Amino acid sequence: MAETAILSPCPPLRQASLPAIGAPALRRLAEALGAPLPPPGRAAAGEGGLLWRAAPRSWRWLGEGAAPFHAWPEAATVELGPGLSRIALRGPLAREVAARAVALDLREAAFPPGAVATTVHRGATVTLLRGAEGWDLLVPRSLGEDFAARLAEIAGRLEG
Amino acid sequence: MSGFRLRGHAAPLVPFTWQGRAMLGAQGDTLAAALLANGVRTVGRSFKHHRPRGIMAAGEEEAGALVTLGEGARTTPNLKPSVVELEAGLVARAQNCWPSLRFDLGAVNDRLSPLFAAGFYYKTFMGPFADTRIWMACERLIRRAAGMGAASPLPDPDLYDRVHGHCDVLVAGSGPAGLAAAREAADAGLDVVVAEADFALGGDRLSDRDPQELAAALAELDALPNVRLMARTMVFGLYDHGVAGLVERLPAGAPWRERLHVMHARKVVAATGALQRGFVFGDNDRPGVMSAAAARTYVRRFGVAPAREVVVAGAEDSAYAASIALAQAGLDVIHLDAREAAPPALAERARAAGVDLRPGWVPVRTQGHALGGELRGLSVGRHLGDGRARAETRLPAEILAVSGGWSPSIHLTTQARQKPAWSAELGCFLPGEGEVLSCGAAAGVWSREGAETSGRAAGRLAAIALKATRRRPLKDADPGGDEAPPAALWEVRPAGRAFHGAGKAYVDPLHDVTADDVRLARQEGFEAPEHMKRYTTLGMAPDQGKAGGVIGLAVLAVARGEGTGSLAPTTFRPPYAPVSMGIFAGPDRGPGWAPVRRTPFHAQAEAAGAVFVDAGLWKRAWFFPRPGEDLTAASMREAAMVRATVGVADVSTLGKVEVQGRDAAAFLDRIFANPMANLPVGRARYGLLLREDGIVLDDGTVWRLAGDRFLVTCTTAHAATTAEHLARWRFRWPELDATVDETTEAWCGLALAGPRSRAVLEALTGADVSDAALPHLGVREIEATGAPARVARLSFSGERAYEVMVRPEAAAALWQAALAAAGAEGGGPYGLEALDILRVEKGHVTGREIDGRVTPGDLGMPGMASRAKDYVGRALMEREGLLDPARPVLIGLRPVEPGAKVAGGALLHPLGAETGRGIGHVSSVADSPALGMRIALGFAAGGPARWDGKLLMAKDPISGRDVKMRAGPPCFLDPWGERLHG
Amino acid sequence: MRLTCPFCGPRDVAEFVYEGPFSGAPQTERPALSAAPAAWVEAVFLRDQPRGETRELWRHLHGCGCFLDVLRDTLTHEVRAVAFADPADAAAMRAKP
Repeated sequence: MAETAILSPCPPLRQASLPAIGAPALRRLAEALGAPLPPPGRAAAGEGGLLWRAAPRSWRWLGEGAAPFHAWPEAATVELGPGLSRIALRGPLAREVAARAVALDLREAAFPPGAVATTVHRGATVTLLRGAEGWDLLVPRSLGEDFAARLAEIAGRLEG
Repeated sequence: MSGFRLRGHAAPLVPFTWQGRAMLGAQGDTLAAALLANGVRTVGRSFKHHRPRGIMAAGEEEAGALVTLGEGARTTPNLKPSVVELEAGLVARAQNCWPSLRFDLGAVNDRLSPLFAAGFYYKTFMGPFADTRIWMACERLIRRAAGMGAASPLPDPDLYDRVHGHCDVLVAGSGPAGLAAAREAADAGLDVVVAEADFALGGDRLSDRDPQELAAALAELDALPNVRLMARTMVFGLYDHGVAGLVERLPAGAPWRERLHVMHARKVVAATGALQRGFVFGDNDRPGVMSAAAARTYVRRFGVAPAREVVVAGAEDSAYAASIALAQAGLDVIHLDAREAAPPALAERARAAGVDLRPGWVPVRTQGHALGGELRGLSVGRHLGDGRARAETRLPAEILAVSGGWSPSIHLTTQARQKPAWSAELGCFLPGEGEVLSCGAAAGVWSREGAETSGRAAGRLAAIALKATRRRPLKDADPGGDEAPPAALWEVRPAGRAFHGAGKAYVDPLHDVTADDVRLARQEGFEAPEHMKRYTTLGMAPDQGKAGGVIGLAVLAVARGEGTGSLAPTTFRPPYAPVSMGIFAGPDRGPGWAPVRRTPFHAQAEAAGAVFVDAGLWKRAWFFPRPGEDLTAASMREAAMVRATVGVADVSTLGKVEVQGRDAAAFLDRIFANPMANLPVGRARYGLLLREDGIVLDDGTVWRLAGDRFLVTCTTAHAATTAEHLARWRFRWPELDATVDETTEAWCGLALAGPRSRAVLEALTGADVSDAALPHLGVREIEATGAPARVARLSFSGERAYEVMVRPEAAAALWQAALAAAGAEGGGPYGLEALDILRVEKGHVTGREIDGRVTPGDLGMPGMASRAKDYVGRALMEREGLLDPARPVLIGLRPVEPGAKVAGGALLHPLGAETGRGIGHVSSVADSPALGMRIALGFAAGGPARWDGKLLMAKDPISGRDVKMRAGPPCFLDPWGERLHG
Repeated sequence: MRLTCPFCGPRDVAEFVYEGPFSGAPQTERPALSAAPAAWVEAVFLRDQPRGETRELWRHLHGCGCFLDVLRDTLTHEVRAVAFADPADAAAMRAKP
């Protein structure tokens, strides 16, 4: 039986912030991405990664590919990936497990594939992304082992 | 003589045990139904008076008796048999009786009951008894004599699930109104959840003669993809902003016993029905007295006749539904209607069914069997109005089914702060208007057609509110629906002089509160409902006053000379009915109740033999014992090793915040008490952060990586609070161009400390790390074991030392190389305990000193508080109290007797003045290998200036140990810091 | 309790932290660092305790991290309005590429 909660290192996750964001800055970012910018709560696919708006003046890029932040040379950037672990929730129980991890509305209309949200799990800030294969939960690295073990245990009980 | 199963109700048999006796019930029974079918009438003994009690209801308003279920660790006391689902193998016992249910010695309390009137606790043990041990002795007996069930002291072996859910419309209740509301909302395309606390769906429809209609309605609803029907799921509370708490009981064999649903609903519909209430009269609590609605439910839904001869005593129309149902089942029914004029249509139907109808009569007092006290008969009289009657004749009865009226179940709407309103016409409280919609009997709509109309109207309103439909609201049903108005009957009292006692009229049978108790409370001044409730404990039992609460209010109102509607009911708060503690703990219990944080070096440290300690949520390497070493031996060896050669420690848990931007330097200059703007690139500086009230928040270091890029480190314990502090101030100065990001976990690090530390660093990197290239407090970005690294030459131990930070994926390689190089130099790993010894020897402060009460001056660092600039905390640091020279200041302490071991937390006193709080305390202790004794840091009023060289007594009031100490400066080793350059 | 973050949408209160009463703008939250201690005592230690509507500063800590301007009723717990407390966040959201 395939595992429902699988722990792995987080891919590179880079954040770029500007003190003020106007229409020109957004246009440059869209051009660098090569696609329209996603609205809050959605991630857009670029080459080798996903881009989403984490806060009004802060964008994040998740993936091995080059981040489109060369469009903003003046931005303050920081690497968040090394501080995170990824827990992949897969299989038919993935949503049930996710519903026990976070209080978000995970119904189809509210959280379709491409949705992304930062929320809280057991006191820690986590980010949930939904893709075609399932759900990815980015958690603080120090808590990865603990969280993955607990979610796997819950999956086991739901199954059994 | 007692209850029996009616013919024609065939269901699989379910074995269970009652009071140690094996019995059989039917599938679909509640425990109460099964007990009645087996002829059981007495089910328990009451709380104070130890009177025998039986089944009084068929739902959560059960006030007769509570039972204990299960054995061993799964013992659950104080359950209502009328809601317990009968499952094969169920084990149930009566409560509060010894030696047996029939023969309970506690029954003597019934004779002494005048002594146990309301408030007796507050009145006895006063005067000569106050403050004596007599009270304590009696207390123990009282506790044992009065009681509910006994809980198991064993840990709960069951698991409880917790899940978050979202829906558009939450319908509480699956009766006719609830299902109609759900259907209407579902037809508008909304996501609907119907939560039904009972194990069977249908509500009042379960007591219909023909179950087919119900099955069809349920099947239709279940087939809709946007409707979730949840049985065994009670909505126990409504909280702010559409959050509802639901508890779902799971079937035996499921991995969890119960499941908490935290349901976020955009709209809530309360289709919670109404609870039957009776009226009280003399000895109305005998086994055999129950509500008329319950009698009807037992006959219709469960196929159980509570007895062959039944007297129904009603004051309103629905009593006829009960007497007709009982007569149709073949029982002998006498129906007493308190109203002189019985409703004609209902009276005709009753007589046609064979009911012996007697309008204008009420029960006055019951009689019981000599042995056991169960109902044998009752004295009845003509109703003279206002509840007055004179006992004229006696009727035999095994069951007396009472119906005074109905109380809409308004708990959920009241929790939602919608104030109920009294309806004098219906004799009940109706739910208040607001966001939560009520329908059906919960809104006072009594008829079946009315309930369905009302439900549909509520469902439509919900859809309109959620903008799921453009259709117009449906016509609602009016409350009421009776043929004749109810007699507002709450209590039957003997008219004129009674020749014998009137018996006790129980308003809250579970807590043995009588109508006289309510009047006594008012007489003693507790005349507000809230006071009366707490003085008498009416409504505070597991039934939470569902049946008796409104009667108590009515009796109180009469005693006050007012109408019932003038009194507001006490506030309903969640839970609606008792729920397990376990569901609130959910998965967060047991050894893993809190998350565990591990550093990227954890596996390596473990392989090296580390023993770990919990530091907050972190597992930190505490010491690395060699064979035969304990904590003290290992940590002293490790500390000595660091001072002699070199040690390697994991410092990954330190908080890290990256501050960048054109104004980053200015920002940090405003945050730290000491200057930071002039920190050169490639340098680090120790810093103090103050709270805005002038107290030290944390200490840490600031590394300048570039003109516009800084790394702030702080203590492990304050990683989050320091990051929040910086973010908060960043928000308050929007004119500054600076960003603040917490990166505690993005970098992990090792401290290399000791005279040979540079040699170890050199083994890790090709970069130039000579003293010229990397002087004390220098910062470099280099490569270590082939990975990008940040190095700062900082020391916590007082030795030459380096902090090397790398990305977590490079941790394993860094550890291997560092340990190998250290080993080659005669060193090795060291843990938290040794780290602490080293810093105490040098007088470096940690959270034990920075405890939220100290200023920079208290820490012996007044110079860190700059006079040349403004910073957070400066203004309030200059408050008088914080400048008082008598404040405790950091000092060092050595024992006068070298082997004496002072305890951390000991209070410091001058010799000869050793009482009271003293003049300070011991904050940190360490068994120092360098000094060969246990040294300590602490605080003493006036500090080293006052106490240097003098003696202080360190008193530990808990262990009783006193240690004489000599005070000195808070640094025991290398006061000029020469070892930093060693 | 739930709050509707203007960036993230409706969320459970566990994602937020309460930061105290809100003066209406970031710059007016505290006196100048050089201000006299009396002004700081007023700002740090003295609080109103309104019955009814109150203006509060919250932060969406486990979310977008924004500081939020919240109008809340202490009697009914109704949350009347939630907006960005930092005008720069509001301006950034108004910009359209």
